[in-house]
Order: sequence, then C-alpha cells, then structure tokens
Amino acid sequence: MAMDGRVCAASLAFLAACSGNIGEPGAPLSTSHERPSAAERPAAMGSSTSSAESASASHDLVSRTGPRRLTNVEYDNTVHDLLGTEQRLATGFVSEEAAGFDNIASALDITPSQFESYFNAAETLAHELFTNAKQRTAAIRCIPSGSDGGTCLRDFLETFGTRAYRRPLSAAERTGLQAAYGRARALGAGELEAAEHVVVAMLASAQFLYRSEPPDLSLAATASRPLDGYELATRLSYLLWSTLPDAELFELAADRSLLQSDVLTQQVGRMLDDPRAHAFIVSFAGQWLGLRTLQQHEVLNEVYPDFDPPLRAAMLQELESYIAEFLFEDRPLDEFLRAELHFVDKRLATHYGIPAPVQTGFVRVDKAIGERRGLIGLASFLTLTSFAQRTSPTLRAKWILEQLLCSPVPPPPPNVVASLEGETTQNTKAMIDNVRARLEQHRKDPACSSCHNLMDPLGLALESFDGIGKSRTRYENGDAIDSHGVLPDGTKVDGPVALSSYLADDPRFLRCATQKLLTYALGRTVDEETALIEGTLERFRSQGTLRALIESVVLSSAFREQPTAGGAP
Amino acid sequence: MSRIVSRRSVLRGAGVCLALPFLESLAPRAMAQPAATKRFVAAYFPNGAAAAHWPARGKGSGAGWSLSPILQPLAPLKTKLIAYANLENYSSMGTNKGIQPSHSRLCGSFLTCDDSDRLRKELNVKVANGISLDQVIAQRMSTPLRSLELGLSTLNSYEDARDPSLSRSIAWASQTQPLYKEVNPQSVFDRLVASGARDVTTQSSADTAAAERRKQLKLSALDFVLDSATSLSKQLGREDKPKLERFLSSVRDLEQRVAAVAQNMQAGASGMCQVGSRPPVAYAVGAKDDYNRGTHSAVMTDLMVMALQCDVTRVISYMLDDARSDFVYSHLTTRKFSADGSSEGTGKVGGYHGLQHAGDSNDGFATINWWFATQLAELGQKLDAIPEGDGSLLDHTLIVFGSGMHGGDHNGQPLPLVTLGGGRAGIKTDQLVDFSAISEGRPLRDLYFTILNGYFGFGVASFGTSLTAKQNRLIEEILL
Repeated sequence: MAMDGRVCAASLAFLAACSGNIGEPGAPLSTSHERPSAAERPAAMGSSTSSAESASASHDLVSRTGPRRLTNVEYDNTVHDLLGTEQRLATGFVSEEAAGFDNIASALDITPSQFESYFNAAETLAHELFTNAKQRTAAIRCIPSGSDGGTCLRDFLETFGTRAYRRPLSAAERTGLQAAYGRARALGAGELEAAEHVVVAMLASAQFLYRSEPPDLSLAATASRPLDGYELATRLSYLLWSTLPDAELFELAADRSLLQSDVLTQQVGRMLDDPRAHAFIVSFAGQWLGLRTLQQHEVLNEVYPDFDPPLRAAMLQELESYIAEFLFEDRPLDEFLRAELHFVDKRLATHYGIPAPVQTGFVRVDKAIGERRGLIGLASFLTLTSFAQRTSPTLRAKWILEQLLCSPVPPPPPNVVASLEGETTQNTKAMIDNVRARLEQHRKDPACSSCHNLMDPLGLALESFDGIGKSRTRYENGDAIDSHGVLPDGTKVDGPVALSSYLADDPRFLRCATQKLLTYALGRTVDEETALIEGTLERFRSQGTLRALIESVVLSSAFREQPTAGGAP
Repeated sequence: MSRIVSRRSVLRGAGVCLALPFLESLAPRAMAQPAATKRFVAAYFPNGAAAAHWPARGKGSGAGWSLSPILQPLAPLKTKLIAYANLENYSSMGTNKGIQPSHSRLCGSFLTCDDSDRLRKELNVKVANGISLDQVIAQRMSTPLRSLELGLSTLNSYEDARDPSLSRSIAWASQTQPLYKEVNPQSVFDRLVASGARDVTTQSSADTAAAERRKQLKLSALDFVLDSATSLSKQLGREDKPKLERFLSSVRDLEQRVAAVAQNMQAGASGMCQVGSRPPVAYAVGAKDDYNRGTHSAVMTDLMVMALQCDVTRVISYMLDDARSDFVYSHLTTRKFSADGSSEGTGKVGGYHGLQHAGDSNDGFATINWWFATQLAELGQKLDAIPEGDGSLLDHTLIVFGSGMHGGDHNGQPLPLVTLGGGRAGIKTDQLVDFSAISEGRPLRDLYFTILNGYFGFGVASFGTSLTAKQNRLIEEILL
C-alpha cells in the first residue's frame, strides 16, 4: 500500500493535521520515491529547525550552564551519602523539568514554597543526624566547645563542610557558621544542639542546594575558564552517580590531578564499574528512553486486562537490563536499535509468547523473539508509546523521531478538529478496531498529509504489536494486521524487522544519543551547537560504545570549562 | 552582625508588609488593604471543554438562564454563579483565535493575558511570561502566605515546543518567575500550619517559650543562608544573578513569615479556623499504582478551604491538571451526555488529550469537564457552609473557573469560563453574561481588570496586553 502524497493520516497522538513544513523552512516536502543520501535524510524526515516559531525559543542565547539546584533525586542521594539517612524527603518536593530531563538548569529555579520544603527537610535531617548515634559518630566524633565551637567545630566544618559544599568552605562561610553556633548557644542550646543548628544552616544554604560555577569575570566574554578540581569532580559525580563525589574524587580534586585527561578517563571507568552508576541508567537513560514515563503509564483495564503492576515491573526491568548491556558490557551502540536481546521473567515470557523460564527472576535471551528487534521491539517501548486503550502509530512515530533521531515534529496548525471515525467515548473493544484503516479513512485533508506521510509509516510498521507490546496478527474486529508502508524516500518498511534495520542504519541515531547525553551532562539544551555535537560524536565513533560516548562528553571542553559569556556584571 | 540585627529589628517592627519591595509590580501599588475581606481563587483546567455540552442556556439572570450539562453539578450554587459566553484570550498573542502552539501558550496566558513569546524575545531570556492576576492581587495582601499555588498533576510535563513552565504554572510572580505549584498535600498542610493555622481551642501558652526559641533558631539559620547566598551572588555574572536573587527572595519570604508567625496566630477571619489532621498521602510527580486523582483532589479541596477559613492566605491558584494533559481519568466512569444533562454510562474514561481530539460532543471529554465542575461545586459548597459577616465565606470569595482554550479546536475563543461567589463582596451573581454580539470576543483581560478594580478596588491602570492596544474596560454587568 503505497503512501500517497496527498492523503492525510489523522491521529489522536496530537492535532490531526500538520502544517507541511517538516523539512527545512520553505522546502517542499519530499514525496518522490528518490532515496536521499544519508546527509539529506534528516531534512526529509524532520528537522531541528523546522519552523521559525520553534527555533525562536533559543536564538541568541549564550551556551553556558547557570547555577543548578539539585534535582529531587540528586538531593535524596546526596543527603543519603552525606548524612547516612534513609529518608527520601525530596520525592514529595515540587518537581519540574525541561528538554526531557529534570536536571536542566533553567527548570531548576526556586519558589518560596520549594525553599520552605528545603528548610523543613534541613531541620528534619539535621535532627535525625544528631539523635541517631550511628549517623552522628560517622559525621562528628567530638563535642564542640567555647562560643565558636572550638577546634571540634572547625574540624567538622573542614571534613563535613567540604563534602556538603563539594569544596572547602571559604573563610567567610566558616566564620558565618561559627557565628550561627554561637547564636544557638546564646539561645540556650547545648553543644550538640548548636552543632545541629549549624548543619541546618548548611543544608538550607544555596552552597549546598546549588551547583554553582562562578565565571571568571576578568576574562573576555568569549573566553572560558577551566573548571577547578572540585567543580569537575562534582560535575562528574552528578553525571554518573547523581550524588556528591566520593573520597577518591575529592582527593583528585584537591590536588587537581583530575584535570588531566588520562586521570579523568580512568575515573570514568572506575565510576562506571561502581554500583552507584546505576543512577546513570535510571536518571539519564531512564528519562531519555522513558523508564519514568512507563512507571506512570496507565491503560484501561477493560481493554488490556493483562496489564498489571508485575507486568509493568517486568517491562521496566527488561528495559533497564537492556540499557545496562550497552553501558556495562560495552555492546556497540549501533546495535541499540537492532540487538536480538531480551530479559524475561515468567510474566514477560508469557507476554512474549515464549516458554517461561524455569527459575524465578530474569533470564537473558540472546536471540530474537518473533519480529522483535532492538529497543523498538521491547514491550516497554511499545507500551509507553501507546494510548490507554489502543495503539497510536503517530505517537510511536513521533517518539522515534524525537527521542531516537532528535528530529522534532512541528506542532500541528490551529483551527483543525479531527477525530478518527468511530472513536467515541466508549473504550470497548469494538471501538478499538482497525486503527490503520481508520487512519487512512481520515486522509482527506491535504493539510494533514505533509507530516503524517512522514510519520505514520514508522508507526504503522509496529502495528503487529498491540498497546501493551503483545504480538498480534489481527485487530479485535478480525481484520488482518497490515504493517507496511513506504517512506517518502521510497524505502519500503514492511513490519518491525525492516523498520529496526532501517533505523539502525540511520546516522541520526548516534548523533541523537550524543546530543541527549550532552544535554543531560551540561544541564542545558545543545540543539543548536553543531560543532559540539559533531566533535563529541567523532571522538567516540570509532569505539562506538556508550562508555566511549560518556568519555567523549567528559573530555569535551564544554564539560571541563565554564564560559564567561553572559557573565559581565 | 550589625546588618543582621538591623534587618531583624525591621522585621519585628513592621511585620510582613515589608515583603512588598522585592516583588515586581505591574502597576502603581495601593498600599492600603481593601476595606472588606475579599478573596480570590483561580481554578484552571486544560484542553478546553466539550463545546457541545458546555455553554449555559437562555439569557439574563435568575430564571432566565440555566446550566449546561457539564455545569449541572453546580446547580445547588447556581444563584452564586456567573457564566460567560464568548470571552477570548488570544488578542495578546495574535490576530485570530488560532494560537500556536496552543497548549503551552494559552495555558501560560490564562492568568497573565500576555504573550510569552514576545516577552522572551524582549527580555532575551529562556523563560518568560507575564505577571499573573493572582500575583497582582497577592502583592497587595498581608496574610502570612500572600498566595498559594496548587495543582493535581503527578505526571511529568508534556513538551509543547515551549518551556514546560508555561504548561505547568499559571501563577507567575514576575515576568521571569513561574511559581511552580505544589501537588503534595502533606507539604501544603505543613506550610499552612507553619504559617500559623491553628485551631482556636488548642492554643496554649505553655509552649510559648519553646516556640519562641525555635523561631529564633530558624531566624539564625536563615540569617546565615541569606548572608552566604548574598556573597555567592556577588561572584556571579549578569545572566546567573537573577537565579540567586530568586533564591534570596524565597529565603526572605520564609524569614518574614517565621518572624511574623507569633503575632499572626490564625484563628481565621471568622474565628472558625479548623485544622484537620495531616493528610496521610504524599502524592507527588511520579506517584503511581495506588494513585487516585479523586482522592487527591478531595484532599486539595479541603486544604484550600482550610487555608481560606484560617485566613492563612486569601489568594489561591489551582491547576486541576496541566496543559496538554493526557492523564488517564480512569477513576471516572464515562457519563452519557444529552441536551438535558448527563447520566452514568459505562466504561472508564481514557486519556484527556486523546478525548479532546475525539470531538466536542464526546462523552469522555465531557465527563472529565463535568468532573472538574463537581470539584468546583465541592469547593464552593464547603466555603458556602462557613458563615462570614452577612453571608458565607463563598460570598466573600470570587472563584474564576475555566480553561484557556475553547475545546477540540484548540482555539483561544470562546473560552469555557464561569465565576463563582463574591455575592456579598460586590459581585452580581446568578446570570449569564453574553458577549456573543462581539464577533472577535470580549477580552478575558477585561474580566481580570474588573476583578482588580471593581471587586478589589485596587485602582490598577490596566491588565495584560492587547496587540490592538485596546483599552481595558470594566465588565459592568457583573458589578453590584
């Protein structure tokens, strides 16, 4: 079934019409069957500068990362490592995000309400620290004395303080905290209660809550200063572990040896071999590839009675293990979209229609299961890109284009109402019949065809998996699944295997992975910074592993320096 | 130390009114408080309403007009309601009702009537929007909390080609500061209690000394936080300074409330403050498995009542959901809608945004809107049960309830919007205010202008922006 350039696929994924400018501004859509070269394909399939409107958001803005408040996950990890607490108070704090990640500086601002949460948490955690003997003796072994806490408090500020602020305290900070100790004593607090007061002050301070790298204002606006050892250790630690640096990193920060490239590379290796690197999977890959989205995904039970918490948990576990294979086992990233690899427990094996493993827990499956290939064959991906009651080829396509190829789809035009014929409020099985047919039935409006011709074949190729990623050959109404389409470049995409092979060959994937990791590592969008993306990509391409990509990002000057730009007083 | 001492003595002497200087102001400020106790609540819902079942019927007031199927849950409060036909909120951003991208921009402008795109370019920053109506009001308040920002969304944001703050915050303290809402009921409860909400009967003098010492310790810690953040701010450049400034103003905000709390023990305007028990649930973004939106909403409604009843704040903004939400409202059973009303149907309700696109007569879409109306009715009835002066708390509270978007078409006109309450505070209720004769629609900013000047009597020169430089005009019809 060839896709006609004039027909339109409407979908509930977003407004069922598109403006027709998915390519470069002003460029007509490619609807011919000539296959563009690899270099041309991005423009044909979507573009990061798709319209004047979407590009306007970041024009003229300087490429630097401002002060970053700890994310809620980072906060909880940090106080755990700093204080030994098991409380995860920040899970209830206000949470915001940008560019798909929660650690983007622009979203890490603060409101009075948020600060109050931090202040209350500081009181709670400091109190716990000084009432739990095990926690306290790990942090402070002496009893402060005198009106300024004496040597005991000074030592405490040096050891505990350096870890809390992720750098040695300034003289003014030390004096200020000693004065706070004195004020507490004057109010009648005992020595340890006054020390607790000092900890409250530190945990509520901007120095603890923000990662801040002040620019060197004496430099030219176009210049950068290298990060110092502590700043670099902190960036590295939050990138890979989502927590404060450990003792070894602090030592390498103190003598600045971390600034050497070989030491930096060696530390990346050490840190990835540490169990704390699991935080990288959860925070970076988890947000990029939808772990967190899947945790919140809802389906309608009347349509998918099979979907329950154990199945969701199994899907999440498989996705995590799949990512871990690439992070820890150095499987080349270009296999990410076509690897024949699964991790199943009994529940997921049944879901996939293969014999359940004999033992409890997860087993590795090193071969293809049916038509499943790569990330897009995992039940997790197929579920989180579906609606609650049916598949959405358009949503799956949008996710592939935006998350895996970094080719954003422009928003649809206003003033269009379109719904799929027969899509009513009744989420009964009768109403979730042949999605493909109903998409085609609505290809009446030429305004829709421009985007949807580009997108829908990607999603339609996955129609042989239902809204919770179960293999199917027929729709509920008995219609056979037809999962082929022709992309605008003429490529026939016939089903999931062909699609995964097509996507795995697309040069945009590795570039996109690079762009996403840079965004996460730097805490800002890098979409317009072609040289940075390309340079980082070139440095890791020959090795081609996720580990090599991380090293390449960490070795980039963007990661190791702080620009002055925007720093003029 | 001397600076600290002087700041503290200033705080002791002047209470919280001094908070005003570090908030930006839209218009010349009237420092005096309005004579009567008046309150304001903005309750927002995204994605518009199922247009076939939203518009109120008839015309005029009293028996002349009647509720629509979606608004039926408000029947017990009809005499305290005003429905509006043909309000618009596109004219600050464009010349026709189709604004793109619709979700983020029409949500961002819901309480600002301004153009985030234009401001972002003008200010050359990544995040900008206008100052919101609730914050213009809040700046003129001297309650322990000048405002509360609440919401129900426990999902991560949907990107809409604009900064997510536009889709997730209707309250903006300044052109660059979204006031991210609180969705965790426990945090809200703790804030209200920390800000002085107390049962009248449980106040005892026995703990006064200990409370005073706790307060002084808090102030001491905050002194250090302010001093050290000020030093940090000095090291930063032009681009980064505003972020530390917002941190500093957040710290000062808490400092002032801590300083003022003893003299502000809240028994409520009507002496009826009732502090319930701390909510047992800690819903937050990422909540899962046992999450129930209905329970969440009920708890938030109770907290809003508590906040107003205890006079901890007089200004609340409330997002029933975020822009472009595709939250699956599976706690609801789809209702069957007809011209006369609705009745219980079958099947659970699906994703909100998907249903928005299933058409303006779609039962699932309308069911979600209907549920929002039940939540407004719940809030209104609870406020109405609390006597105050010559009426109820509701009669001294004006609630704006609506969406920034029409319906399935995503247009900025006509807006589904009603106001509830305020009948003993200058608002002429029980009517349908119909602007259908104005083809381009009546600007929403005129309603807000009327709230600022006609209801509160602030004397504000204008509110929001208009691309055609239209003068703000009072909507006289709603004023007594």
